[in-house]
Amino acid sequence: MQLSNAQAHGVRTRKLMGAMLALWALLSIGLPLLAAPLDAISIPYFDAPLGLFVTEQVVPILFLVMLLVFARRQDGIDRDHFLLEC
Amino acid sequence: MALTAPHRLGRIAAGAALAFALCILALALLEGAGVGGQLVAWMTIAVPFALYAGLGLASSTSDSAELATAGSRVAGAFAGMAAAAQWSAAAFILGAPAAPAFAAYGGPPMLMALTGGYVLAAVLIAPFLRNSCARTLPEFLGARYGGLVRLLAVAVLTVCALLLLTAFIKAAVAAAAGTLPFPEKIARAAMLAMLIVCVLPGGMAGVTATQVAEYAVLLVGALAALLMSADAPQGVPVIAAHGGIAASETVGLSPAAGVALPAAELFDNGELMLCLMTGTASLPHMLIHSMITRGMRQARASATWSLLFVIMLAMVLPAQATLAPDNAGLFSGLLGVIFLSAMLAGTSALLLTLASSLDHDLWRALPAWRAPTEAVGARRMSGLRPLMLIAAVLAAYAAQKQALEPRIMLACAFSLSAAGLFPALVLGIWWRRASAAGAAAGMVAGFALCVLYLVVSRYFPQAAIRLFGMSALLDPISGRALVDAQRVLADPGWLADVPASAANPLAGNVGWLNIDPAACGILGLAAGFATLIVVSLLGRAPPAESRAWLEALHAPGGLSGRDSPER
Repeated sequence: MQLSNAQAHGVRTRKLMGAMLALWALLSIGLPLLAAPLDAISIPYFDAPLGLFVTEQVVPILFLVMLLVFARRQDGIDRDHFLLEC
Repeated sequence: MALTAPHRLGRIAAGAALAFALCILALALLEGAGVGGQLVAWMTIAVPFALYAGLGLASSTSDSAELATAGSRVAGAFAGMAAAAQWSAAAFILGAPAAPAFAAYGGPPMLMALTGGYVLAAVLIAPFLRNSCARTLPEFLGARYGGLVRLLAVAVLTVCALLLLTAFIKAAVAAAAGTLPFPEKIARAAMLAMLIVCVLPGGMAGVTATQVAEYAVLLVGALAALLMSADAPQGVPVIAAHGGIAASETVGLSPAAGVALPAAELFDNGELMLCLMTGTASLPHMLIHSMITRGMRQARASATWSLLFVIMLAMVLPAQATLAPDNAGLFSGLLGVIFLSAMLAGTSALLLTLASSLDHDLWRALPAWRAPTEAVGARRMSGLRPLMLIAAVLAAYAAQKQALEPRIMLACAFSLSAAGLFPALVLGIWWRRASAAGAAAGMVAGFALCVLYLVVSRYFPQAAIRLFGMSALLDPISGRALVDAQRVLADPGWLADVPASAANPLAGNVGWLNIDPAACGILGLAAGFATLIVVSLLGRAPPAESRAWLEALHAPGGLSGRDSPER
């Protein structure tokens, strides 16, 4: 079946949304689990566990990178389907 | 004319940063010359606040689109900057740790929770909210599901916004009374006056302009405080290590006892983290910054910018401020101005969101009330400004009377918003089959379950254990029960303590599945999603026009020409 332009745009938008949601779940649930063993290592100057550093500083930065990629990808999808706003 | 044009907002941010930096330099010189510490601390706070008041007055407008959404043409970067200023209010109350503060930190990973919410909002909700051209979040839900859901959304929004307003004002008053030896009464009146000056004349235009200036002051102030504390012999981490304990007494932050809660403990707080994330993504005053942008693309950009500004600020922010009047001076003034600017940013957006929704979705949308006002002609009477005044005074009064800790109120507001709004918003945008009946049932189920959980665990813990099958919560570190429920229930004094007083050891310490009452949103979310899905599938599918509306919602600019019937 031939999809209309709006439908094709919708399918690609949904796929991107699903990927982003999966990545979000991985970063906010999976990474802290992986980071738990790192708590054994202490950061010298701040005297804080490394695992906490990962969840509190590294994950927010990864979230930022994720949103940058998301915005670019969605703009690309909109452009492909002639729906990009100025 | 409008202050919210991009080049103006850029000048406001740069001007505020420069002016405040010069002000700090001048005050440092004055302090060195022997001027009294009290006066210097007072000046540090007075100068930026005079600037905010000026911006609030200068953005005065009578245009309804300017008042509600700053004319919907703010550049993404500045919408993000304004959102970041407002974010810091919640971060302060929850005590999110900044880089230098790890050593003193003893809570769940708040920074991750609050930033994760941005991701959810940017991917699932915010761009679509902007694309619907709705002025308020209840209007959006009303356009998707109809009038009943719109009314329910107003109810959820009102409860959450009043809780948050009360929490922020209470924290701000405690901080102001701690930094400047002001009596609390005067501090409360001053905060209320600032709030009214920032929001009343210009609505969202004023909120955006002042929040951009507040971000500049926050960043410059935090950098200056960091530099000053590096000069001190104790070194950087000391601000937080000593400040956390001092602040917990004055401001009501969590008592940071010097133990860092490691990542391994995350899952004890995992449900609270999920509540904070979904709450951030659904709280109307957090989402309003996407509505002031020019379109979907800018709304996505604003979330990205906001996250960047938030991370920049979090890297330099002293997490928990020492607010002691006896060592007043430039440093304590700086900490005071950082805290108070954050609270002002938070309260101003909340007040605007609340009043704008009550006016737009209740006062003018109800048909019975609409008839007489429409008879007046084209100039329909707006209840916006009187409603703002009423809400501000009410919240200030509640802040005086309410005994709950600000951080508990804040966590409850996030939970209630997550339970009441998140399922209806997400499924409304992404699931065609979600019906009006399903959304209404889901919102009521999620919200009511949260309220029940909160009220029963706090005020009726005896009944909670005997009738509702709750048990005492466990200590996150030792894993033992916080209270021995059986022993308390055996005491006739505590048994007769209904509703439970604050001194009751069981009050707020019981729950199902070891879920802290503040994290009740997790139960509400589950109930909300399940009810919405089941009721939608049992009922009839939404009508064709609803499907057409949804299709247009997903196409950028698809709804820009259309007026929703409720408008």
